[in-house]
Amino acid sequence: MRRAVTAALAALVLAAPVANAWAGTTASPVKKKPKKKKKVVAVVPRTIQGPAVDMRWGPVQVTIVVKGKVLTDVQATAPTERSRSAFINNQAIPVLRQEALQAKSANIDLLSGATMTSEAFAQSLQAALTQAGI
Amino acid sequence: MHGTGRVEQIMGMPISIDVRDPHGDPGAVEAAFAWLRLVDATFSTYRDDSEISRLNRGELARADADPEVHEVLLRCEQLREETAGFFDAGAPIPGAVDPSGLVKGWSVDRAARILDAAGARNYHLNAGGDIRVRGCPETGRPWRVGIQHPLVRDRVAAVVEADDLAIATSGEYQRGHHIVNPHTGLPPSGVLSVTVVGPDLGTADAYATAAFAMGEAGPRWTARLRGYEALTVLADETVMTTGGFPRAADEGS
Repeated sequence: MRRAVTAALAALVLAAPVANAWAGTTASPVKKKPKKKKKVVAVVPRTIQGPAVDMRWGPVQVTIVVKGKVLTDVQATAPTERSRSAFINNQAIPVLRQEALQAKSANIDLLSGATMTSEAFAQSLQAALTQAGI
Repeated sequence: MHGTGRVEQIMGMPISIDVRDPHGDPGAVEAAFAWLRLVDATFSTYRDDSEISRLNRGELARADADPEVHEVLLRCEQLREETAGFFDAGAPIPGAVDPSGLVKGWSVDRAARILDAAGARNYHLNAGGDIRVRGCPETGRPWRVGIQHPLVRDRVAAVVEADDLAIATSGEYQRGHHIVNPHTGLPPSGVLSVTVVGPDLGTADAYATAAFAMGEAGPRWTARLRGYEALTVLADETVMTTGGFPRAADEGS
């Protein structure tokens, strides 16, 4: 059981660099223009759900919150078992966020590796990001 | 860039197809997934009614098997010879065949051809970490594929840049799949993972498995491959690559 938990954490940590790598690179170059009328447009956060993807201990689904072109939140749920999803959210998501920030510099689209479980989370996240258009 | 793509669980792993063409054909993605599901039904060793299971139980004569089964088993034989027996679809059960080590990459290559035929030019397929990319993910840059660091899960050992390439990685950290040296029956030593890149994913995957099974002798063997390049992470985390390995100039850190 403990090993499975470790695997879960590792998978969550790994997922971040794959899908989030380009989240911070979409800003257009800064152009200095003379000030015109200020037009304030409120950016409404959007919530997008990735597909449920099977991991070793059951299906995992990733939900992201996107504000404009920026990924602002990541939640993971294991739909079939409430306690597990609570565990994933409470224990792993803070790590995931931290790793996502660290991974931005590597700027990768995909990850090649021998670990399949991590891919499940990564691919649910990737699909959600694709759907979000970022 | 908006894409046409999704993830499906086939052959016991998540497979993603992501077409980045501005007007991608969702039908092509569906056709590619339908092909992969058919491959699973035909080749799975976990399904009693697959052709491979029936072959191994003696209920199906090899002459009566699907042409694709012939193609795959023949290619497995060729790869066994090319790798001096280190890629062996016959191991570990005498008389039985388990072409799973080739089927994943081979079927993804064929799925890519389905996308090609439908006019797709910018896409990736990712079958549990074995990847085929074509074109670019967005205008003006190639795909960037991280090679998982075998020990540090949040780190990449290298980054590959490519616009038309197959990338396969084998390692001992693979789930439920313990690669052994077929000649000794023992797991290899001195190496953590081997990544092979080249034109064909099935071949790249078989070479990666073989080079990993060779252990410390793997890097020297990969240096002699034609048309394929390799990256090996040794037990002390040293990264070795063949001369033409398409490493990104800027790998980040």
